[in-house]
Amino acid sequence: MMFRALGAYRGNDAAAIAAILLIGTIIAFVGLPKLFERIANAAR
Amino acid sequence: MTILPHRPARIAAAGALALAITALIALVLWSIFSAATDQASGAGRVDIPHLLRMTSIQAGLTTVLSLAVGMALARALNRLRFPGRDLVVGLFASAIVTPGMVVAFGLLSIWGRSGWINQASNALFGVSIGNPAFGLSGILFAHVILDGAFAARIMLARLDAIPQPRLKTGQSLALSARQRFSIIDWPALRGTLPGLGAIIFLLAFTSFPIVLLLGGGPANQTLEVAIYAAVRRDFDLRAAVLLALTQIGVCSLVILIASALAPIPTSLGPSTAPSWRDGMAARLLQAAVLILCTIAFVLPLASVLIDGVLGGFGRLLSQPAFWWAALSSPVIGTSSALLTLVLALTLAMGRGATSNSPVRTILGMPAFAYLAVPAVVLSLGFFLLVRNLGVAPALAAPYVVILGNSLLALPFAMATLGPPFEAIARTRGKLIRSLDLSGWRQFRPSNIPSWAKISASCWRWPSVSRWAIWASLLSSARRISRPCP
Repeated sequence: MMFRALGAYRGNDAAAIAAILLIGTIIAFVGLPKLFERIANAAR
Repeated sequence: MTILPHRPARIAAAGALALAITALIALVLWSIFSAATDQASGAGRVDIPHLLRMTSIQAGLTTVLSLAVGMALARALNRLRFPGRDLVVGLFASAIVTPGMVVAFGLLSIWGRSGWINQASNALFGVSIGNPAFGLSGILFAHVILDGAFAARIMLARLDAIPQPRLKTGQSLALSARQRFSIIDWPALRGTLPGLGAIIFLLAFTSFPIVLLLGGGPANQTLEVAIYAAVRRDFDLRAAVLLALTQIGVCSLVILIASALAPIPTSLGPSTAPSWRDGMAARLLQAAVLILCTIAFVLPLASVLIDGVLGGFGRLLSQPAFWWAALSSPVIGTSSALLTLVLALTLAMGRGATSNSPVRTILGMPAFAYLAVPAVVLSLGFFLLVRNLGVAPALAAPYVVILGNSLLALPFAMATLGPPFEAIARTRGKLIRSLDLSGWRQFRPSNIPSWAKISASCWRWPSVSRWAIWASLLSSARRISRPCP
């Protein structure tokens, strides 16, 4: 979708998509390992 | 002699899966070759020597610059202690998962024709600096931001692992900063350089979104982008096949060389505060390096966030396509992660249940699927296969994307999940046999804590195909080794 937005010269849309993608990546990078560590600790 | 648990079902399941993946890859390649053979002409417009030369120059420069930046940054992070250091280290570690497309977009926001720097330069001096974000300079900058941060994280782990007695001896001898580097730091770092360099070279050699966004035309294309252009723009399958074979050849050569080099240790534990501080001049230099690198890494990401917020989400949120993408992305990501996990668990448990070397090699082979077939070629092959089967591409697309993502992420999952399973089988095999535990009972109590923790990363891998290359390289040399918990 970001490529399409850039290809259609919709810079604002591409910027918003990039921001959402970045936020999602950070949440996944920080949050998911913590969640799974909690699951692993609970399983012990 | 190692006693392994008797698990024929695990070996059979892993064998069947390895066979199925191999057959699928063979089918995909056959679809491309047959389509390329059917085409009367083509491949005439593709200048493979030029592409190979440009890709190699770009990847070589990226490797040298990333290693240099990574080494300077790792030294600065190893020496300096300041509030928020852990946050900064975590920030550089996040380069592992930062999408290249986002970094490229951030660079355009800052260094592009209407970027922040040009706007400031025009406002202050009435002069434009042009568009340095496009072309080779932009590609190198984006690659060094990501790969330099990755290299720094690996090298920091090596510096943190230097034994304290060695540091104390060096301190008692009053070594200067330069002597400390050549006598203590360099021996710790140099072992990682060839393997790390090979990984960075491969990442840059097969780079796709950064080169597509910042390449600025055919002059700076990588082979991967050229394959994409040949298929997407010209539908020249012969050219695509030739380019793919060239890429496979070069990548295989680099992997073979890298496999013979020293492995990269992966001790990423917390570092202890240094008791030996460098002189004031060295510390100032390290602080300058750290500030520069942090700005270079954070600024593009901050610009993406700021531009996104300023641009407004309103128009985007009003589009049904956005909501469809927002819904389908996590569904596809989670499905890919689950499939990756199932495939990797099946293969890893099968490998862990046998000590027969040829069988272990066969069960490990599906992990190299991505190396055998570049991502663009894999997608093309799936498209042709689906079309040949008479299935509507739109109908098959989600399943193909999930399967493709899983194959790309499989090497990383295998490299992470494999060693703990093998360690469990080796260290507890005798006990499991003596207790006559069933496969499930063995799996539950002894394996779940280990794999539940490390499988968290599966949710990140499918969107980070570049890591598949890294991981497959790592797995080829058995570089990831985690102790059995």
